[in-house]
Amino acid sequence: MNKLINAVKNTILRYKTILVAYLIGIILYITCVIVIPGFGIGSHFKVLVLEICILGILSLGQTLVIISGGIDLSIAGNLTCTAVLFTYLSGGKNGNVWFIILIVLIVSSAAGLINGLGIAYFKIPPLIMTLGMNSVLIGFVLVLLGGQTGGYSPPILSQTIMGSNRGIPGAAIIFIIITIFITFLLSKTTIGRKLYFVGSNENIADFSGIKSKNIKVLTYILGGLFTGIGGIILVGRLGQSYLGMGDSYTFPTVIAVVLGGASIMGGSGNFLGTIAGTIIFIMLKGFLSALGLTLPIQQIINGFILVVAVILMPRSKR
Amino acid sequence: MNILNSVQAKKILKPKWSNLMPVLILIALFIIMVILQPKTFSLYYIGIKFDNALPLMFLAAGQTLVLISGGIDLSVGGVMSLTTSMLATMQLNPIIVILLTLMMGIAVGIINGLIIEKLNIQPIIVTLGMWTILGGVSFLFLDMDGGVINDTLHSVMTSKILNIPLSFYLTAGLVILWYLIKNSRFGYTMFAIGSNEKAAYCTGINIFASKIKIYAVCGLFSALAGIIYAGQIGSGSPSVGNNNILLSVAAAVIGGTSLSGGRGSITGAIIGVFIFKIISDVLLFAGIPSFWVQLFQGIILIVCVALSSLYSSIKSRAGEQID
Repeated sequence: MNKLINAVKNTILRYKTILVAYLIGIILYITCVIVIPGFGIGSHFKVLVLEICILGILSLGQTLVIISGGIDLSIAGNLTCTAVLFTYLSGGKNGNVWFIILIVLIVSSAAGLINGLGIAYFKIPPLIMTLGMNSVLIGFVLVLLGGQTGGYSPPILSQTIMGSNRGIPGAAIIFIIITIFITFLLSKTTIGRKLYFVGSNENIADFSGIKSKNIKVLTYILGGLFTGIGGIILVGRLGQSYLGMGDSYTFPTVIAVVLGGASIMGGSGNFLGTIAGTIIFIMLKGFLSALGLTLPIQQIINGFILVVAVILMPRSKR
Repeated sequence: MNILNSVQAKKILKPKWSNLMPVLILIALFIIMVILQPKTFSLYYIGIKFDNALPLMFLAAGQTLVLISGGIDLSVGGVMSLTTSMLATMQLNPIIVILLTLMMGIAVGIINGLIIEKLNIQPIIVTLGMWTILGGVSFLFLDMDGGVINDTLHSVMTSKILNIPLSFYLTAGLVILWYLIKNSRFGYTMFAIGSNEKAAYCTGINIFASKIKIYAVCGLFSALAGIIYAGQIGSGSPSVGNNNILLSVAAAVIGGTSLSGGRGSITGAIIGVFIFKIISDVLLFAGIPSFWVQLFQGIILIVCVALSSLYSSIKSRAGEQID
């Protein structure tokens, strides 16, 4: 019996920050439901779930990259590129949607692959490499559109993503599948262990026989793939693609990862924490806009929350 | 003796070569541009380019100092936006407003430095938060592009001395300032902290005070960038900084500044800014649609940094063999 209590205690202590993050998310949600009429019930609940799914999938990719000690700032570009390429190829029609999704996901993974190769093998700092890639992808979108503003989503995609009136939205199912996949990857395979090792000290990982370069490339590929999936879901949710649709997603992913207790220096971080961070971020966003605060004030509060959250997070010494 | 000589030679040659590469790229771009459009080889056009590049130059200069010390400052854009918004809306004596904006820039830098050093948090997160906050505040001052800038400031910023635009003199001033900084105590501590913070601490450098100074100077430079931009354009913009933040880092890195600290120069950053500003013109004169500009900017950024980091890794490998 004592053993059991100890085990529970240890688990709670181990995941303290994550539990706290979830608690904050839940408290925020309950407060919003009580304070603001119509918040988080019925159709608005679905809106929140969809937003959490999109930001959550993007943030999971970002989590992997940040654990490995890098950062991915090409999310905005990759998201926009995927979305625009998808609507461009499908032309807003239902035919061949699944085949086109496959192509688009290959393109977004390829962008991640190039990121990874540049960072791991050419030793380009992640900040600069992904930033340059962001510029390249946005440029690609501009070339592709050639002055147009965007395209429309095929109806079948929107139906799948949003789900029927009372059914579970497809986006949520995809999100759950990805979460299970990452759980499996990080905790049940050697890749997960290696990833944390590479993030905390690349040199030592190299000396212990881990091919840290390949691990890094893999994280960026997965990051690109998840961004692509997020982009397609966003197209389905909005019903269209347009230039700059991904711009407001890069930094929220970083914020979600940091709120989830990861260190931006790499080596620590947890996908469950990231999901909690995503929930907190979306709740706050909904709460602040429901209060009728103007966008600038919301932005100021977001900035404060980021800094305060990082100050309050327990962290290792530099 | 022979080995010593070669090591010494390497030490002397290494910074020179890595400094030279961005210059070569800039010269190549310039030559291509002049071939494509001979009229660009004129004082008028080059003056416009200097005007165009000046705000980003100041931003990149401040960023370079922070990067050399091993940090990064994403709040530079926020300071720049807020400065232009304040200048465009505050109906006070322009000198007072300018002083206020400069003080604001320094204060933001000090707050950044305090949080980073006292609470031991990664610079990228602190300054990202600061950027978000300042971006919001500047929208509170000015909700869209516009406002009126004081006429005197506008005419000063667009003035010409001896038929050469003011921006040219300011650029020259920036270069001179860099040589003063580099050979000052402030400069030495900056490089020392960036190369190895612990070693710098052990030699008795006051890391805390120096870092706060560096971030404050960066804030000051960003405010200056905002003043110059507002003066040139004649109106304020609450979002102008956002596009320039990452560009300032990129320009510094193309100019040979290392993101891991301890290496870099403002002259390099200035060249990096010009590379970015000239690419778009080269593409324009080559008859390539403007949609391609961003694509090429990204590729050039990646290629430049890849070349310089490959070069330095080859160099360091060669150095290891000698030792």
